[in-house]
Amino acid sequence: MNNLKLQDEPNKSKGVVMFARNSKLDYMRIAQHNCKLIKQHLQLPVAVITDTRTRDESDTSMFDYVIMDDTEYNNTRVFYLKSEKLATPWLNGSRSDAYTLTPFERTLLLDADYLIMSDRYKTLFDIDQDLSCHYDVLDVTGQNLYKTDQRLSPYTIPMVWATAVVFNKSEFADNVFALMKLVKEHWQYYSALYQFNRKMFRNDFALSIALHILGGYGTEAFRIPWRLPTLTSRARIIDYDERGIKYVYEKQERDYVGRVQQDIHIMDKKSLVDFI
Amino acid sequence: MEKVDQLEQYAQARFEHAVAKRNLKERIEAELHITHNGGMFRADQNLIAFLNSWEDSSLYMIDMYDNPIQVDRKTLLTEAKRANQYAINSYYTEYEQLKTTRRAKQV
Repeated sequence: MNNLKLQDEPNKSKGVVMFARNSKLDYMRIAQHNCKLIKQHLQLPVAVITDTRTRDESDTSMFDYVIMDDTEYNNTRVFYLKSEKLATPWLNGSRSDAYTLTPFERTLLLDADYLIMSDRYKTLFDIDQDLSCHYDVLDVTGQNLYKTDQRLSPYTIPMVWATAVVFNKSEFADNVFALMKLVKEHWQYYSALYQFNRKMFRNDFALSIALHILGGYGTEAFRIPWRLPTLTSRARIIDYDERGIKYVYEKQERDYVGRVQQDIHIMDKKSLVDFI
Repeated sequence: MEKVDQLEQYAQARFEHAVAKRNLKERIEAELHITHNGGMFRADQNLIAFLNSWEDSSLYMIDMYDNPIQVDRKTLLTEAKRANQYAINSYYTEYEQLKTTRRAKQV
């Protein structure tokens, strides 16, 4: 890993970092789109962490920093779309390196597919917290599909989401990311200890465990005080313009339609790519 | 059967409407958060009323992260009123629009 390209010297104190490594899905295209949204709504510099193959086949000129990470991880994720099943390598393993890779003193670490459509995350750069993340998800389709994701498993610790994490260069954040890495390295042990399915590595789980251990056991002191708006992979995007994202999903053989114009985590990445 | 179909469609429209209203309210709620001196506060009526009723120019308050924060009363009050009115005005405008939308397909 090395910081390959510093494209200019914007204010280094605050910024956004995204990971974008292409697999069967074009994550870089999503990151490029999100980069434009971030600059429009948050007015912050954006760094992308990617690999050589993705960088070579993409235009990265809109990013203020391009940081290379060619580490190999073997994780597979299956997305269930309306009419098909897509199993794709999921290169999510180096998230715990974000602390060392970020060029910023205060960082908003985002999933590339968490589209920023408001300025609300700006407030999190002004608070005296070394790390904040989401504890709850808002299923914008109203089906409450994420109710089982409140804990790592029914009888264990609360789950937090690594989709959007704000952190300072600080001893606390350094330790949280170090422990995430340790959890990843000893995934089998921690899955047995916290009683969850070890089949797939999840950054959400690693962060949950790290915050549980380092955050004073059982506190919720790192909570971002609003829910993480999420559009389930069971919903398909049918329109996307300046009025937001219009989606449809099927429930009991009927098509339900909605539109969202807010920060939104898109689970159906494939239909998102079709609209950007 | 025609009435049953009609009722089903009506129920579906009401569900979409309820979801849209809830999503709008969640968004507005998030816009109410403001920062002051390293702390985060919710700019609701309680905060505004409390700051209005307090006489001293400086005080200590507990923020949303349970941290004690030294507050400049007038500065926080001004910011809370601005954020509150901005958020509630947006809520009003978008809610009025939502009321006139019979089906979410029209949005």
